[in-house]
Amino acid sequence: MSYGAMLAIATLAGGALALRAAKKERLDIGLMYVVLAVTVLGAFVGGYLLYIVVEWLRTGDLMQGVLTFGRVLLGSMVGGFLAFYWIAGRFGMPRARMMDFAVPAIAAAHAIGRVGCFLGGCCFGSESHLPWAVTATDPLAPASYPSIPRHPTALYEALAVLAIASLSGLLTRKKKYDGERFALYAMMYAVARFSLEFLRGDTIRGLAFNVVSTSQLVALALFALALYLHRQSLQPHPPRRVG
Amino acid sequence: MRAMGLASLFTAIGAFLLMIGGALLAIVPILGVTMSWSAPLVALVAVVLGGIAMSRAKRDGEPAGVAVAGLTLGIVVFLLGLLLAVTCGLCGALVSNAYLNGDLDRSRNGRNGMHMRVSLPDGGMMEIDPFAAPPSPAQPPPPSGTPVDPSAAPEPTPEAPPSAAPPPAMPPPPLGAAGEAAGS
Repeated sequence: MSYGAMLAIATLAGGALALRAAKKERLDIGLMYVVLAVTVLGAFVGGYLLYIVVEWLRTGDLMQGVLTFGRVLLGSMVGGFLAFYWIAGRFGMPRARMMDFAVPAIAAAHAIGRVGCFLGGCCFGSESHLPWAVTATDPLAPASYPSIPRHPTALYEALAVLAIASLSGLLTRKKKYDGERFALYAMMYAVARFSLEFLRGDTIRGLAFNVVSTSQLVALALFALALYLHRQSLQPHPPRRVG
Repeated sequence: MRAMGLASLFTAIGAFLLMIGGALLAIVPILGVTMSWSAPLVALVAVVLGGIAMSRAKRDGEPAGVAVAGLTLGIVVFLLGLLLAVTCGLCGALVSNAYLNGDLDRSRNGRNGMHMRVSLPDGGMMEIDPFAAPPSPAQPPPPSGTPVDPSAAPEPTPEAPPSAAPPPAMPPPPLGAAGEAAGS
């Protein structure tokens, strides 16, 4: 119940922040609702589809994934981004500028969602005996198998994304191009996610090439893509020829 | 644009009915979980229709009351539907899973009980009877289910929490039903 409540609060908070920023930017609020709804829809569909694929590969049973209605965060991020890019382009809205002012909304939703993960006992850390290590005892929590003190990695990530959102805002007070804040946020999040993966304890998520986790691989790809877009956007563009 | 506003309102009402139906029918295999998870998705459609209607009404200088009503109801139903889907929908998913696996087990093993395959967080699968009565307080908790594949390694034995009461009849949910799974 707590996970579901935090998910609903995360969506509400993220949506409210995005709408407030859109009002400041004098964008069409009706169309903003449409963009938000389609983005959330894309996130759910993307996360669910990737979950089905992952569960199918892991268990060999397609119905296991179809009927348990889980989600994979990375699938949600990709699905949500693709849906946003499509719908915003469809209505002729300024996508790059929207990505910039959506950063606080994305960070808030992400952080609250991770608190939900912590309360639900998923996305848990490896064993730890630090003073702030947490032991899950609820039999419904995956983190309680076994019930040992663990890094609260979900909370680490929640704090990290809030800090990254603040830092990206400070660094782009005088931004050089639309989308710069989002690109910096993506790069810093990729670094944070790659690092936090070393503290994760849910090894069932699998390894890529037996070296890095699949999430670390995706984080590397995200960093490379964001860096490439950042450098490309900083390049001076030749003036358009008229006539 | 009034037509689109009305469509938004009726779609939101439909999502509300799906949400209620999913909650009431959570124990019905397949149907309950499908209704639970359809409700927030249908509510999002209502929000889309309401948003478009609101935007065009503002552009054309027409009243947007119906559109706002559909939009608002869609948002409320989406949030409530999401909350219920993760709880009642989760119950429905467990029932559906047990229903499907129970049928397979009955035909394969000839047993009368229904069994459910549950993923453990650190690998391996376990077979648990979700409807088995919990052990009496005087007895020590039994081992949690039967390993499905003894050759899968390593398969840690779940330890009972130190202060645990006898374990509940319901097993831990499959990985991902409470949140995120592999790759997250």
